[in-house]
Amino acid sequence: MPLPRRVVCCWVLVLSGVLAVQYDAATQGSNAGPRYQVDPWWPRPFTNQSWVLGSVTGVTVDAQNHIWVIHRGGDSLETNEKGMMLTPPSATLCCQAAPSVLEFDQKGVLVSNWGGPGQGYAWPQSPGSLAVDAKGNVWITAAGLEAPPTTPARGRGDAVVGEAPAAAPGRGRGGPPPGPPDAHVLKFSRDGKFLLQIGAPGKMDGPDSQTTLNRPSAVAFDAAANEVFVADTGNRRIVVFDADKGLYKRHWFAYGEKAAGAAPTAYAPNDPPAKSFRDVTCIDIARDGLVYVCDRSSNRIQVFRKDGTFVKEGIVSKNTLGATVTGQFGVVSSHGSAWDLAFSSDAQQRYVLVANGHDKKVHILQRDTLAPVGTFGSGGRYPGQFLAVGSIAVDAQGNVYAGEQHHGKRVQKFVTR
Amino acid sequence: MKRNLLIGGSFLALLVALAIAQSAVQRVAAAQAQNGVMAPRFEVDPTFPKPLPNGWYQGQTIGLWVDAQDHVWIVHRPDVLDAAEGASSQTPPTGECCNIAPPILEFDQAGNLLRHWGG
Repeated sequence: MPLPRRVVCCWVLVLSGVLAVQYDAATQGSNAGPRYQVDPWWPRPFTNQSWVLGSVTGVTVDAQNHIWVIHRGGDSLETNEKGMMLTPPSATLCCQAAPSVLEFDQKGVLVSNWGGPGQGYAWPQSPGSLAVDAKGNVWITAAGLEAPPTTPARGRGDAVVGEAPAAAPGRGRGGPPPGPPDAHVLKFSRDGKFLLQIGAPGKMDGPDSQTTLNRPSAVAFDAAANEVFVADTGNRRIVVFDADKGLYKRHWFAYGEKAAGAAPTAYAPNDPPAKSFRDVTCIDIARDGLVYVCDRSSNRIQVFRKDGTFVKEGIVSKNTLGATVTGQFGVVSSHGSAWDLAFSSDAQQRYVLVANGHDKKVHILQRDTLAPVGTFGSGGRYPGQFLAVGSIAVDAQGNVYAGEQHHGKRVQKFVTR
Repeated sequence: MKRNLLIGGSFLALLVALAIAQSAVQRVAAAQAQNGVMAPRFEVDPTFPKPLPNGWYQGQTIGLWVDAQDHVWIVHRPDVLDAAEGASSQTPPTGECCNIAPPILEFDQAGNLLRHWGG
């Protein structure tokens, strides 16, 4: 009965469209800027019904308007989410971690997947974000397990080092995997062929090193200059390399300083702004060449020129603090209001969208002034709501994709309206 | 004008076709059910329930009931929410979201929260 079933589907779509509009009123925050509503039908369920997402640490959109997602996989899944991965298995049908890197088309269909250890490179213990450059190559940061809660610098990946999970440790068993800590950036072709590694696990020569990194969270590209910009979280700096060979170009610290400052104390809303980054977890370059950076638990965005000259900073949500949470798969941190950012798709990129993981919403800022103009989303488990929203991207039509860390473990699409 | 009529006409034709097709599907389903046991088919309604008011966050749903008025009742476990989920219920609050929802929640068919109590 192929035809009638399709017809019924049409009815369902029409009705759900009407319902979605009503439903959306409740998740839409105050808003003078663009308005968004969730598309609860994106992405489609995986063809392999046993696959589940772990903590989602990165989402990006490539030049073909495909949506790429990276997640922590088995290490962030609870025992009852990954019965098929246990030894011996405790389940036959559900579930196991989906492959680490997932490429979706506009309809939400999974079109490619890859990821995991391989020859010539070290797969991250805990990935940070991913980004696709102008040549179509996919870059992944090894953001690593976070510093213990007492240490201010936290990475993009959400686990905390030094805390034993409730389940037995070991890869796939719920604990942080053993081995030297993440301190590198990886470059692959879009079909997952290894091309380049900058830095190496366990090799961290400090904030002025020209060859090593420390739990980098994110990358951005300057295609014309063939440069890759790295948000080098553990070193509290931005560092720039040649995108083909990984050769060092330059680096700078908060406010464009050339010398590494002292590590700031924990954020307090009424203290003067910290002179150093607490945890720089995102970097994006606008079409006009300005470089935008999130300093996650400092609740701020800093803006630079590509040469590192400081331009301005803006506070996202001054009073946001944070929490450290113990879950079955370890300890996760939920600190700060500036976890990731993306630009609106209009030619001028008039708006910056900031994922506020701790307050469970997305802020819309005016890009030129960094003044807040609205928010969308609210805390919760239903479509259009968030837990630990830590990654955000915008496609060519202006649709927004948001990934959730911790036990949020999903990616949602929001369409403009 | 002629174009508008055409568009209107084709919409009308589409609606009629959809209605006919749907009743055909229902007839087929009824016929199949007569021949033997057929499992009902379900599809998710992602719009139910509507997001909770008051910045409330829901814990693990451990009980569910539909009453004689077709209202949907749930009981959930607020105590399982962590310090990030219930950030504004912390002392002092660490963020704007969220407050922990009362354990008993009653929804209407449209997914609106009607009443709440418990604790």
